Amino acid sequence: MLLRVLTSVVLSLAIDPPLTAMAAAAQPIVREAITPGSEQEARKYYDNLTKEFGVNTSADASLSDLIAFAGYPLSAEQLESLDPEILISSERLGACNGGPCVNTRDMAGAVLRSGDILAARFFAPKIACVETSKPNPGWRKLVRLRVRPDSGASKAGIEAVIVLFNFFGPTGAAAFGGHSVNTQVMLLAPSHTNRLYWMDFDGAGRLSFALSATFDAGLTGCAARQYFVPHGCNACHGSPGNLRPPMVNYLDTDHWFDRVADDFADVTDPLLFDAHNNDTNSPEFARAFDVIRQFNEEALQQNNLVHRESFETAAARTWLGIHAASDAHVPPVARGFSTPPETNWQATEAEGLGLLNRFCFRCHGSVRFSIFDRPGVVSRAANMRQRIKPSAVQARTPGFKMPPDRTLTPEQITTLDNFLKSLE
Amino acid sequence: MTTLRIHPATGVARLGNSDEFFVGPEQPGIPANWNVSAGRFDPFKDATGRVKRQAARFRIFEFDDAGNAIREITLADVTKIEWRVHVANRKGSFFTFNGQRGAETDPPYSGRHAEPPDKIEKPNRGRGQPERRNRRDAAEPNRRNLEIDPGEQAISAPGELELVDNVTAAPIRSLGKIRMEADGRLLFFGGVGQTASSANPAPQIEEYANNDTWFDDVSDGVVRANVTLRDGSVISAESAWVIVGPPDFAPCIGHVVSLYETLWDLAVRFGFAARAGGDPTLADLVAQQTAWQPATNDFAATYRPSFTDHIYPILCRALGAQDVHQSPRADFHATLADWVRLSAPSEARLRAEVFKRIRDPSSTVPDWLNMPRGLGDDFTSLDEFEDGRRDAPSARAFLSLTHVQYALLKAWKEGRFDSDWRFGDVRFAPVPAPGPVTPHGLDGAALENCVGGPFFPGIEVGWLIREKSLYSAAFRFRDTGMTVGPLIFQAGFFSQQMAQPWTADFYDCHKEDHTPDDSSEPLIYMWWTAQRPDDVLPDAQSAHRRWVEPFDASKEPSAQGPDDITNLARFEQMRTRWHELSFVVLEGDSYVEQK
Repeated sequence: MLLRVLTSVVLSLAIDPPLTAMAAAAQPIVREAITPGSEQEARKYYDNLTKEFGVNTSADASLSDLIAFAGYPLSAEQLESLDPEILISSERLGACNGGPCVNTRDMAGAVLRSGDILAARFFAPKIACVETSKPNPGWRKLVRLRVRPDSGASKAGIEAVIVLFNFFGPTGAAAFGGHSVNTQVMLLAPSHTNRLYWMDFDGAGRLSFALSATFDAGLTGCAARQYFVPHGCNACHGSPGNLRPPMVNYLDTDHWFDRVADDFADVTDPLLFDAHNNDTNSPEFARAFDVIRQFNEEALQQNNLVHRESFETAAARTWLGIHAASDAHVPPVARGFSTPPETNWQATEAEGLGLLNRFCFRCHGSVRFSIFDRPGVVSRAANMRQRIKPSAVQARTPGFKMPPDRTLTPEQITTLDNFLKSLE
Repeated sequence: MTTLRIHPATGVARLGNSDEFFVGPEQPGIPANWNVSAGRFDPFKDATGRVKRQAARFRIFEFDDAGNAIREITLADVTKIEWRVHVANRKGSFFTFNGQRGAETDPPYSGRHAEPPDKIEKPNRGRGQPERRNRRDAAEPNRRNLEIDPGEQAISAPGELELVDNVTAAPIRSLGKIRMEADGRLLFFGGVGQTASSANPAPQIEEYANNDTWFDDVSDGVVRANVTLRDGSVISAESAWVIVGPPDFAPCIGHVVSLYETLWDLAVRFGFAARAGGDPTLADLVAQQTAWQPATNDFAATYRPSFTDHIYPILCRALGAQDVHQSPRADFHATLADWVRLSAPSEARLRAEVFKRIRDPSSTVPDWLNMPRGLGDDFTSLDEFEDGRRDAPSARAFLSLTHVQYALLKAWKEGRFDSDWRFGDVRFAPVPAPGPVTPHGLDGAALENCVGGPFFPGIEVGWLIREKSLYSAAFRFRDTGMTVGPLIFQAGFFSQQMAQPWTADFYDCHKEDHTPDDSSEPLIYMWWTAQRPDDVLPDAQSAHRRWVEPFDASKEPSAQGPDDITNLARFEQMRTRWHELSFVVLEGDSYVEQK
């Protein structure tokens, strides 16, 4: 039997922890469904990021450094706090009265043009802990920076930097009035092996090895746990087990509307926060929706580049198709993307799909399969039933029981089990 | 006419450096060293921390013309029993191990035999590997000096006999001993795990299988018996074989393809002679032979496997691997921990989901993803693929179940099985209570904890075990003397193909990561994790740790990690400290390190 060399480069980009990391002496048993990774791996990943792109990942690296690396004379605080309407407007960004007075005419090699910055704030049920009767709603601010032509990022092959600020609060106003608890970053480098690379920053904008999340709240409670770069990021972006580079997830506006009908019934704020209302016919909503649409088109482009035939790509394509001419909320049963179309979810299955959407979409919108791909669900239904209603032995198996982020009631389990059984 | 046969037809001894020993398994499902009354394993090490040897016990049975076992023959029944044992170690003079090189011809090794023995056919490995081991050593023209062959040794009264070669120039002369018990049964003890080099100073061990000047005390060979009846007549029993393997460090976990299943597969597919007599297992073998459809590598629809007897034994070993192989996904194989559903006729979808993850042994397309997630006989092709010397690995770069195992699972998937699970919602079926010792039970028990693939080169035996012409009947080899192309079927036939010394491969047969050609992300593949654990649980509440972690501190500073190919210290660590490694035993329903 012949040993192959395990190179640090390969392992640092792997979904699997390097074998050396597994060698750690007896630790508390890992129970997470989402592989948390380790600081050691994150450090190695960042080291490789520096080697590959020249990006600063030293101990004192900050989000502001990264923004400067992308060629933008903006601080992390400005990116976090400025109104998206200012960020996306070169005029307002350059204004010295009411704007940050940025020199947009000669910004790292070119005039700042409309579309170079994309920014939106929105309701984010995905990041909230649902293992409680009163979930604290999550909110996100997304900023996509097209890197400036003469920037270090551009020279290194990075095309865009996507910054995702995470906030919590009962209302959007309350949430966005505070600070991002954790800021996730994607570096889009389509000509590089992995196409997409990760960074994470803490609430103070300092480089962090791990994001804080409640993916496994059903096992560990609502106290956020650390999920290290890159595993904590890859986990939700189509990479683990899918054997391909990670993908940008499209923003599913419809899911946000779905969720204020169940776990987040108390949320009455505008879900597209910059629309200032939830009236999908209003011009403000249309304007805010257009930003999301633009971002999703770019997500689809990236998905096509990585894996054109994937369910993730189909999901993004479907959202764009549904919303090509309409900003209105579309219910889950009309959002299936199965081929052939007759295999899509049927109206009679709306209730069951609603449960999948509520309990499973958080992960299984982008991890391994999407609940909107009916054949994908049908082919897994038996295994999903095991996960929802495990045997006594399986229930003891770390990471087996689903969903990992909440404890279902016996009634919910029975209803979901019966629904899945009916699919078999 | 009275027919006497030795059972097990192939006995299995295991190395150990202690004077203490235990007898290898004698009843299917009951592992070696299992203390029936205590319901746990007895210690695998003695008070000083040395590893106990596993002895192979041989018995003689009388059969009638219908194949029924009439009785076991002991000294109480006859005037005399003479055991004649001939084992040898011919690793030093055999061909270098190089994957499937030698298997491409029928009979095997015909092509390599024609090559100059000192031709360097593996330029990049271990200073260049010649066709034959030790052919770089021009000072050693006498190939006999590279072999350890005590010759045939006979014992006909209770007592012991050392198996020593007084002729060889090899630095190891003893291959173990034989002991005749008071009742006339034979105990065979293999080596003590010794390794030594004939060179001074000894060169570093450089690779996993072919290290010139190095020797070990692994062996195999024939076991014969002559029985003198009360009327003075002498009957020769049908001979048996004995193989010597490394310690089985996880004796309660079977490898997903056991040697028993590999031999069973040969017996079914090639119709080896099998007389059931009253043995229900052999009756099942005959039924499978009858139902086997060679054109499709499948059973006729009339054959219905038992969930408990045929399906569970395959799947439970995959589940057991959880405890000796840490995966990034802690829940890997947990779908299988639901025997109630898996055995329910109504769970067609679940069965289909499990079956679709099983690699098809008939496929000629490399299947990187499916199960078993293990490396295969033609690992060389994967090696060459990764070195850019070929476009893709061969299908056999990855381990597959046997054709019969696959067909059994297929029948189960299709609902053609007996739903006879009776143990409820448990992780594993309980260790069975002991019953009467039977001839075929001895055969099965001996082989079920041996590795039946992949043979690269293997743990106890290599791929020569699949040579059909060697078998006189199901599970039984012909007596020695026949030729297989350029090879003589003689003592040392199987062990000659194995790693030299055994400890080198025993270190390197740990899990490895390999990256499918359309991916940037590696997957982890096992070799023989049920024999040589990758990771172990200190107890049921703790996380895994690397099994060979005690060796890690000796890593060479320039190596990236202890498993790095440049860390040659790993070989010396395993060579000198193998007995310090822990055994994995059953506690509750988990497999944990024996304290």
